[in-house]
Amino acid sequence: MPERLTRRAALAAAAAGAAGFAIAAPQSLARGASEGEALTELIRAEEDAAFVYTEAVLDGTAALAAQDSEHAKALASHLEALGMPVPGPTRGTEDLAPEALAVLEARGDQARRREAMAFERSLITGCLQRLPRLEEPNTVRTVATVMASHAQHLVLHELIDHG
Amino acid sequence: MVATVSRRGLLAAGAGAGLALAGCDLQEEEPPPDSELLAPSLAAAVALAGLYERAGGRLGGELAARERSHAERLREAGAGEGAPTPEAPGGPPLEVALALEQAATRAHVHAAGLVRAPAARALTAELLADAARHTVQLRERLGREGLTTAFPDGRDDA
Repeated sequence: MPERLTRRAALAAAAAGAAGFAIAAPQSLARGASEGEALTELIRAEEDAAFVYTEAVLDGTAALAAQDSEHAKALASHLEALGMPVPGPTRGTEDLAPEALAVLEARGDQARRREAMAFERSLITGCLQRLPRLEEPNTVRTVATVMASHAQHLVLHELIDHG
Repeated sequence: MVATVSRRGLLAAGAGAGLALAGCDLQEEEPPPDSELLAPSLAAAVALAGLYERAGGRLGGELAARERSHAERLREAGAGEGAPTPEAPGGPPLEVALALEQAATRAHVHAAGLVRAPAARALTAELLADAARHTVQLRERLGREGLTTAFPDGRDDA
């Protein structure tokens, strides 16, 4: 889950610019705002993952969509505690990050599995990159366990891929 | 130091979504130094490295190397020595390893929320991810369901 520039993000950036707001550099954001922004990004990624695993037909991954939805809900609770709006579920492929879309666009079981593994790696990286922006110990723990869950999803894909 | 918990802190505490975690008391105390917080993770890594070395085989060798690497990284991060070795039940090596991985997971989760150094926070999260990964590998070897929870915090059924 590296920095994504989806249609959704581009529209938000354009809207902020049109309203005359300066888009602050991450370093200058207030700490709480930075935490909220990080949580928002993580929730979107989890919603993407739930959408992808609902749509993709991949053997042995029936539990993943539900687990990713659980991640999104847990992260949303922390975001609500900050008084910030919670992003809704992903409803279509047009909003997906490239790593997520690649899973659905892959043709053939093996290619789709490989893209799913790359997607899981990006989700792990996304959690790790956002950890420094978190403040509350329980928020840190939730994100760390979400990251661990994606490590489990990844090894599950690897075990299936290696037969 | 005992701090009063804010409304946000209370809300966040309730947002754990199934995370039954140690160190989440409503009366927040100043956490111990990072060296002390990381010590149980180091003790678990050392115990796991020894266990996997004794178990041998391809998986044992692979996981022993990973745990030795964990221990080295924890020492480099300043983890203290001498924390008690986590308790594990007797039985077949894979079952003992699973119990120890769960104990290691709990240690990493506890430390992750409290350590101050950003590098130590990242390290505990990475070790947690690795322990969660090992847990799935061990469960698969034991013929069990690989995934049992969306939040592998070491308190789910092994």
